[in-house]
Amino acid sequence: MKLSNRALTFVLVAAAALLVPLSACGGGSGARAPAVAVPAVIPWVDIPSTPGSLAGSTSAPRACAAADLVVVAGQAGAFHGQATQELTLRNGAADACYLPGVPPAQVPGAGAQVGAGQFAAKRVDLAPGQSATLLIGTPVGCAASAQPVVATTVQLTLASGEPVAVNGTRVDTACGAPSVIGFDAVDLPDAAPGPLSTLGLSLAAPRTAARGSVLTYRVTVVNPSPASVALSPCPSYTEVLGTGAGAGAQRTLLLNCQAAPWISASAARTFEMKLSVPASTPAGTTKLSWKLEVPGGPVVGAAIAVS
Amino acid sequence: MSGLPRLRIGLLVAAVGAQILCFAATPAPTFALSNGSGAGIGIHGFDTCQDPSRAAMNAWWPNSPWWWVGAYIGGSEMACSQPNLSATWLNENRTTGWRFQFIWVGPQAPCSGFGVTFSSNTTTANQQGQHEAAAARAKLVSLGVTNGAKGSPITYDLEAFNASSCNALAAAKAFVKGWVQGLHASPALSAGVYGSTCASELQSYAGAGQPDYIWGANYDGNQRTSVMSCVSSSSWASHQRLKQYIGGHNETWGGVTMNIDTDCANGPVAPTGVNVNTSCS
Repeated sequence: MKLSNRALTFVLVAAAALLVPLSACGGGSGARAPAVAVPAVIPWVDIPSTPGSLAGSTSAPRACAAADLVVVAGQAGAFHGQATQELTLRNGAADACYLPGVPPAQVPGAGAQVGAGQFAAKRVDLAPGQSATLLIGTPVGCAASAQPVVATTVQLTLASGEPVAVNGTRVDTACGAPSVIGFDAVDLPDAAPGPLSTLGLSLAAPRTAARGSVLTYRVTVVNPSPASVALSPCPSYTEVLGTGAGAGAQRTLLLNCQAAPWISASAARTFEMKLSVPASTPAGTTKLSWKLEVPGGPVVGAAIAVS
Repeated sequence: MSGLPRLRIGLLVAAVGAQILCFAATPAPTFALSNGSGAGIGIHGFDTCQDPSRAAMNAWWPNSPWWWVGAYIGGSEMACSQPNLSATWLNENRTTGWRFQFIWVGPQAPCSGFGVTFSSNTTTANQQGQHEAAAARAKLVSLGVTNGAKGSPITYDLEAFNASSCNALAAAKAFVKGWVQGLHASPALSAGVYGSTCASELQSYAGAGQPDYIWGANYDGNQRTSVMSCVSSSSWASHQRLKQYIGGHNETWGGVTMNIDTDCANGPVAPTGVNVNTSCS
């Protein structure tokens, strides 16, 4: 069949329209992705993989000393029916240290000891720059509430025996003795996430799935950065229908990186997914979860009614 | 027109189309949240003093039975600092599938023992309630919630107080009315109040100008929102209740432990769109 000039022009325009989106997005500093046609929806492939290991908290080799910690009074507030005072303990040392339990605390101005409760032996490990928050609560709403007895200093005693005075607090003991009602480390953001960790996700799935059927859905992986991201080494993903031990289905597979070896700058790729819904899956509305198995990788989900 | 100019035009159109595709592929920084009608039936959730990190939320989504999180967004009496809270945090958690109940912790009842309290004068307390509503709305908008946060539920955290001192009960009622009035100003949000079902006097706020919903703390272990001590079953009876039915305890999901309260929603959560079952009714 011979194409007319007009028809040929349209073919060229159509070809250009297909290629330009693959190569023109962003134009940032990253390497240019090769202009190879990629299907609009990347087909699913069944290549089992293994889930990434959970980043475990590092166990610090030594207890925190007073010189390591920067301790400041945080917000005074209201929580769980108590007046609260937050303290922040930041590890300013160059190496990790730990608090073997919530440091014993006193409120000298009120002559009161702060009860440690369940947090007395709660160990908190602090990486360099990481903080722990300590929340002190006192009862409220008693007949004496109108005449507050406020202490503006809290004194902590570290495991080494060193005292640390924290000024600027508001601990009102008019209605009773203070106690620790919260003590935990604050997660540090991922220090240097790789390019795969910055990818965004969206998921399009049917609202219902029948037990014994194959659930077909799509996950779109978005590269918000101004540089192309190579899917190499090819990342795996974990998909879960249901939650926890009661999950109806859970698999970890490799992405179809052969069909889509990169994601251009400021562009997206849509991958088809297939997941068998076991006949034993409990009926009802449950979660569908899809996680990219890279450190700090994104998770996307949806609600699905299993029938 | 010859074929070559047509090709140039075609390439230009293709390039423009590519830019549109690129733009559309970038995650939107803002989103709309609306309560809608009958939303949030039978959705179990949790809340914790410090909004959890993304890593914790990602670990909990596929492993925990919880669908929504109580997200503290501000107020002068918010107990914990919120290093994780941001528009990105909201948007990414929403993409993951999480829903939210936004919490504002402003001034507490007079003579209650809290550091910042509202006035015992009812006129002033009403104005303060409206002021807090405006501040909470502004915070939600600053977190990227579009359309002036229209329809989004925000809960005022009013902790327990001594109703018999300092005209505190009348002041609290006036304050709550102001909170509701402020959030109902256009574009209207959904106004909720959280507190101990008895010690925060939740029943006292029923009637004209009442909150759209209540979130009662009643640690009886019974997830049914229709069962709340000191609150009549005929009040807030039309998908207008959330219940915090277990207080602070540790739970571990996906290898991450948090100290949480557990909740059941038979009322608005944001965004709308999922009803799980009737276990919270």
